[in-house]
Amino acid sequence: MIENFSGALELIADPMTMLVVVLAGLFGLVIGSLPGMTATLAAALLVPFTFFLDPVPAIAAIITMSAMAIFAGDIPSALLRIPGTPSSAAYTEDAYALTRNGKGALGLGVSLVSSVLGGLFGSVVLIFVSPILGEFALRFTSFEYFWVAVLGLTAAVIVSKGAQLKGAIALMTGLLVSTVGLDVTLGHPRFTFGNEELYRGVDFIAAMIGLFGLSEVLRAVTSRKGESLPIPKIEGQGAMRSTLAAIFRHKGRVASGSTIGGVVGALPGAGADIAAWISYAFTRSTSRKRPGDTADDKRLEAIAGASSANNAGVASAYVPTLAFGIPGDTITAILVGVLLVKGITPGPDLFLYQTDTLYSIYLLFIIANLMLLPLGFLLIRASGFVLRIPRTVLMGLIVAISICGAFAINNGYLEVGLMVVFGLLGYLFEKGGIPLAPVVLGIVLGPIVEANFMQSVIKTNWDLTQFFTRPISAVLIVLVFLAIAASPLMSWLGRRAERATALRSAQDSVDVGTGH
Amino acid sequence: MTSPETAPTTGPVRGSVLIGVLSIAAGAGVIPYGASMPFIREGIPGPGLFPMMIGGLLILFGGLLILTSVLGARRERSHAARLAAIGAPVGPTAAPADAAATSSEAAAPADAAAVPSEESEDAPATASVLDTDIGSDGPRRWLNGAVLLGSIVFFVLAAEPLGFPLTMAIVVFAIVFSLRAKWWVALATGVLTSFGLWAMFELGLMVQLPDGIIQGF
Repeated sequence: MIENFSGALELIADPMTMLVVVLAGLFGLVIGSLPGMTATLAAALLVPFTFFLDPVPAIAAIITMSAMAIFAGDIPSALLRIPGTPSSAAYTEDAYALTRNGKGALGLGVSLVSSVLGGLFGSVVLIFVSPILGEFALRFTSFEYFWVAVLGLTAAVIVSKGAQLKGAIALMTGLLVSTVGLDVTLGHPRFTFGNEELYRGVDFIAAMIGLFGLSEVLRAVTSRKGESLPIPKIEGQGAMRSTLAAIFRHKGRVASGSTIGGVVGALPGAGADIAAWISYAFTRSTSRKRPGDTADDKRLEAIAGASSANNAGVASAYVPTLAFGIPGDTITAILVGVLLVKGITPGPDLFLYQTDTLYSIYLLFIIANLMLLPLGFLLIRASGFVLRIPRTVLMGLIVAISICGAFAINNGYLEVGLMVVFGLLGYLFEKGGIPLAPVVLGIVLGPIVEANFMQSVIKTNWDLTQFFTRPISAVLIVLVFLAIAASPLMSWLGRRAERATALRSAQDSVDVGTGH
Repeated sequence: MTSPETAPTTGPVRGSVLIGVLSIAAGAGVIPYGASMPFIREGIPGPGLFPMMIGGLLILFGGLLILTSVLGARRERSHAARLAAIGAPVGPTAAPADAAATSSEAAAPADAAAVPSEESEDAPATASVLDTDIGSDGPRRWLNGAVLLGSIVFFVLAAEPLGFPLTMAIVVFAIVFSLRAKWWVALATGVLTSFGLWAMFELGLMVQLPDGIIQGF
């Protein structure tokens, strides 16, 4: 293990990688702290650049960016009462209340330090759990891979909490898109409509930029007029010591939050935001009244719990991604797409043949979380400036980067056109409440499902019983059914936590009102 | 989570039914197309198998969506009636759930602006007014959308003859200007973005961008 880490260290110590890590980190912090700009949008915009990088810096960029963006989402929560990313939604009310009481820097500081600790814990989970699953995956054949991919697709539908049927339709749309091009068995062109450029299929990156970049801009420019918001000022000085004191006081919360995040995040399809909600509800419901506690202390406690959970979830979501090649959420789906482009197949092979890459991924998680500490404190100080970047300029920039990114894929205009088509599709899907994550997973996993299925049936001359009777296949089938069964459970838990939270916060605001 | 509790129930239902119908239509279109593809051997489908399976599932899920949304709406109505009977304070408590659904930009800001004034002695000094709002009212919204998509089409058509730097500057200028930025802000953004990206892609990443009329880089 040690020699693996030293090999990985050599890969990472490259100045190019370090530069990429810092730039991607800053990028993630800025995008994450802008309300309405999600970590997925940031990942989609990052993808064209990773295209030109070696595998390790490319992975580094996405990992660092996502770790930073999840924390940065807390900043508009505290300042504007709008969560920057969905993962921050659980404790937005608490963070904003702290800012109103003049403790904004303390609240954000606690959220930052618990994010870092949670992220580190999640990385440890990743390092120790994924090899175990990877070893199990070594015995897979095309039958098992078919089921693993089906499991991934099931997970894609589970991701769409509360709208599973729409998620399923979205998934089918993604799968249908993945069939465009020459087919795997006979090389017959499908859905190309005589356009020879489409023979190579719909480019994943162009689809990604359209679905998450362009559609977001389209949504923003066609939105109705709201009201301008005043930004409260954050006093950054002297918050460090009180932050550390608060973290020490709530160390139990950070530990329980990290554990919840580590476990929930690793389940396919659950992800960081559900982890945050569950941990938030857990912290609130088990919170004991201590003498001398104010409402603000309770809020800090809740933030410590939930904020460590969402960052732990980000890291542990990579467990199924690395071991089976099943992406757990949109960001890991994008990472899988990037890895496939780079000629790296995520899954058990990673554990056998590409241990250097694997261990660099482990190390990168630790580095990204450690870097979050200084960069995060800087961001808290500079948050006012970041939030004041004019939206108009930002929209122009995002469109320009999207066009360049799509064009650079093949130096052609087809991808730019595809980007527009997917931008419109993403916009319409969003309007109809259809989740976009399954579309991505469908596009990424579609070819894997089809190739393994066709390979299996041709190999055995259409003996379909083979899919069910092989021992590992049987285990995977059970997992698929468990995943399907777990989905209502998960969304029920999430909804319950949300509802309980709404009740609590109503109660708290009553308490605060009478206490002052 | 995609449909906040407070939303009127008829709108989403109609939307779901429409999505279901479109899904069924897409499935019905894909199946015959898949069936028309060549077979590997007599009776053994090849390229058409997957599209046909996807088509079948699209029809299945579309049908289920229509069914469940119509049934769900009925349940939701009875739930709302019960909630109203208790007299639960739905308004403020729904805020975190709304925010998570990302569709509530209009609702949250209004609350946020109202809250600080309640506790004026605790409220921190307001640093400045944020111009996060780029929305507009009436037909202007659709004009903005059209400018956005039209400018990308313009890029596809004009990049070869005009060259990347000029075309991109025009595209960015058009988008930023359409969002009511000052003309010089839009112009500066366009020119700087265009040359920044040109430098990054052409010089940094070695992507050959169209030169057009501006030669000699």
